[in-house]
Amino acid sequence: MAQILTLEKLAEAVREKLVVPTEFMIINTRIILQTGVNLRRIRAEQNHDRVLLRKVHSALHKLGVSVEGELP
Amino acid sequence: MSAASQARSAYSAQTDSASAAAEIISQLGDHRPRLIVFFATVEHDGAIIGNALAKRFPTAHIAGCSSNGEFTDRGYGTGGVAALSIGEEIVSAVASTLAILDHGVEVGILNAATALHSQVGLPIHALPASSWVGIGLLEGAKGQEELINESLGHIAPLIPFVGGSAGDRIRFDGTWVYAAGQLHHNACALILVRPVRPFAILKTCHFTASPIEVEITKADPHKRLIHELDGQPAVDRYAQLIGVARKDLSFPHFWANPLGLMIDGEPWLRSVVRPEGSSLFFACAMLEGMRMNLMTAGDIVQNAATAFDAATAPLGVPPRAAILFNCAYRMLEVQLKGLEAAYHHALSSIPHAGFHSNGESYLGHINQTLTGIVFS
Repeated sequence: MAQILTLEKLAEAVREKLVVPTEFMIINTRIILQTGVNLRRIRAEQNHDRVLLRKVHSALHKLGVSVEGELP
Repeated sequence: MSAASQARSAYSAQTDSASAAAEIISQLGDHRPRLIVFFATVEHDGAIIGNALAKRFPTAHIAGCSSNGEFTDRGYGTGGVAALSIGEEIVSAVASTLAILDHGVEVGILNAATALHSQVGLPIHALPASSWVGIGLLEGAKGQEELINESLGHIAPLIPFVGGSAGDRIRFDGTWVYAAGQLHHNACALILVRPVRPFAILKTCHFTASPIEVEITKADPHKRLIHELDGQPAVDRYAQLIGVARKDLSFPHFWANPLGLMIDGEPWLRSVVRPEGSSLFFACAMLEGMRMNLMTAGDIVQNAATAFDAATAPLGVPPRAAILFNCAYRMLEVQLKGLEAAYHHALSSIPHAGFHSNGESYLGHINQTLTGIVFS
């Protein structure tokens, strides 16, 4: 199973899961409010932050969005 | 179509709860509701009002909460009761329960999800989000709204819950919520409705983002405190941003100059409540690393006048009724500017009931908005 090393990769996996635009919008808004990460506009200094990566992954999991791939 | 099965509002300025309930019931007349929401000043006994409505309309779901002021298209004020009765031509199905938060927010919301599941016959995360919408009347004095909204996301990630935080004349001492025949102080009323026709979530404000952006560099989100903005003491930087000497900062500066978290071009406002030392206490949590825009105020009455049409225009249908959650800061602004009558007149093109809230909810906790559900 491929590793997810960056928030960009995680966002890509979420987009593959949530193909309906309104569903992606709702989940992304919840993620922004809970973590400060906008999966549509990940800032350079956020992208490789492993603490943030785990935080977003955990928040997604609680929202029922499980993505393929292991975290570092 | 029958008027008795659409939506009907009622308003009473009576301060005696039994008398207010009787007046509301009289105004609702022969209406046949599936759901009645009511909002009353905190001194009212919500159980007397809720139980009287339940006795008169035994097949309807009844839910309500305390307020900082209540309004309908029939009248507005602080000290009375506002209600909206919604019939079967507006909603085809309703479920409601009280989420009691005494043993923790997540436990309370999970238990509520089980109760809603038993009423609708499906786990609520399995309900089609295009057909159902949630309404939340949240405990509003303990700073739990962020966690409540997160927990709602866990039980139903895609169902939009809109709502408001119950008020208590802006004292933050204690609020009450009523649903499922019970009144509780540390609780949320959760309602699920399946509208008959297209519906719109309303989330509007009269602020636009200025180009001035700041970064939250030190914060305690659990206490809703911002210690530093752009690496400087928050009070100093905020005063600098709005062009006011720190010693002159006062409440009118705070409601006129919120910060906005911009998401897809839409602001999610965070209102300053007061300075605490060199920190700022906000009405909403913010996280370190978030970048916020200083907001620029527009015309609050114009914003209200266009709110319903703007919300339903993408649906291509006219608005017919609304349940509204209006921030107490908006109430204060229109009162201080002498615009209260114009503001409520601007909202009164359709039957509605609402209250001035201690914050609003849509996917998360927000400030200084007019939020709600507009039925077509």
